[in-house]
Amino acid sequence: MSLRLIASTRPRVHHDALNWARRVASNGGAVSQSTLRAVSTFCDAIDRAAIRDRFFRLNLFCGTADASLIAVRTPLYRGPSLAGTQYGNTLDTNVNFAITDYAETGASGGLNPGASNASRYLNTGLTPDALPSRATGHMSYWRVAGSEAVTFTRLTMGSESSGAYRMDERSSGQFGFWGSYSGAANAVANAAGHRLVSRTSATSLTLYSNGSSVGTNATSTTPVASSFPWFVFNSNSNGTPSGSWSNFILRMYSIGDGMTDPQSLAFYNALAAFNTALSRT
Amino acid sequence: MTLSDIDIPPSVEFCQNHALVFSPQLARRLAELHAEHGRPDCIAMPRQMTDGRLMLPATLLHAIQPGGWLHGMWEAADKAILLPAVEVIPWADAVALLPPEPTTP
Repeated sequence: MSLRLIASTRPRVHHDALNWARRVASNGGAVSQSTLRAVSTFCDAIDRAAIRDRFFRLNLFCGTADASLIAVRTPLYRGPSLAGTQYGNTLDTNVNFAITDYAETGASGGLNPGASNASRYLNTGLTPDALPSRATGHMSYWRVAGSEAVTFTRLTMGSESSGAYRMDERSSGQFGFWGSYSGAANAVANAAGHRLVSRTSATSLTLYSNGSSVGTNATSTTPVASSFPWFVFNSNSNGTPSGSWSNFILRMYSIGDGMTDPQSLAFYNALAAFNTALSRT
Repeated sequence: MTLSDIDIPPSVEFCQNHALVFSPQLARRLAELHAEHGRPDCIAMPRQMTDGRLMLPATLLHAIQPGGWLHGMWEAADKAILLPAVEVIPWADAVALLPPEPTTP
């Protein structure tokens, strides 16, 4: 058998997925073949939907668990293309997470800050001011269901100064803000799934849940400057974590340019397939 | 109970239900050791409790094993001083001593 024929029978791995696995390995982490295949399939789906350039940062919280949490802190995407400018920290900076807080697969798959989280978060190193434009953008995360017996506010990710680039979940529902404190909301609390807030113009802010629009805000907004990096599992409030901590498992987060309805749905479908591949159901 | 009284690392379940509590002076010393010996992209950031002491989740005891991001700090620390100076208390007791979280309905 010729080398060419052997090569052609090997499964093709998407270049973004391969680059991610190499970055994980170069930092001392590891990725299984099955996870690499799932990440590659995810990348293919993102390309087919023509939304690769929507992402300035995306972390699927996957890879083999290790004592320094290398793989789970290595973002798959760090810029709108692999060849262009890369944004934020090489790895998400870990604050107080340990190996016991991470499971790659199963119903608890993802990064778990604990039911009464009071100190764990990630620092992406990416600031709103570092984006080519703040006029449009998106943030998203996939959360696992939680059980709240109290009136609560959980900030899942954010950067705030005089305005908010933030998402949060409260007793009264889900909220998303991009560049001001005038947000889009959905009156559903404690629901698992994908949340995405997208600003596509000064007068169009949309909150999506599992790919569907669930809230809009048409207030004309010029997104404010913020030099504070996005935190995940909390919000960076003028340089320090806010007092409101997330207490549910997150399976990914993303930050990037604005998304339309079809783009948000395609992104959700790619994430859902990825979670199924890792038995995160 | 202090770190002197438990096997390290304790079980995951034990860690998930306990907090490490220590003085600001010890926190400063541990931060110096971590800055000198630890990974710069991992940070142990204690929270201050209402009585002035600091707390961290006990799950971080699983980060001191070889390969863990706190291993360098742990190896450099003087255990004769460190172990009896870190209290291990139930997580709920530590959370009760944290400043109250803001709540928005």
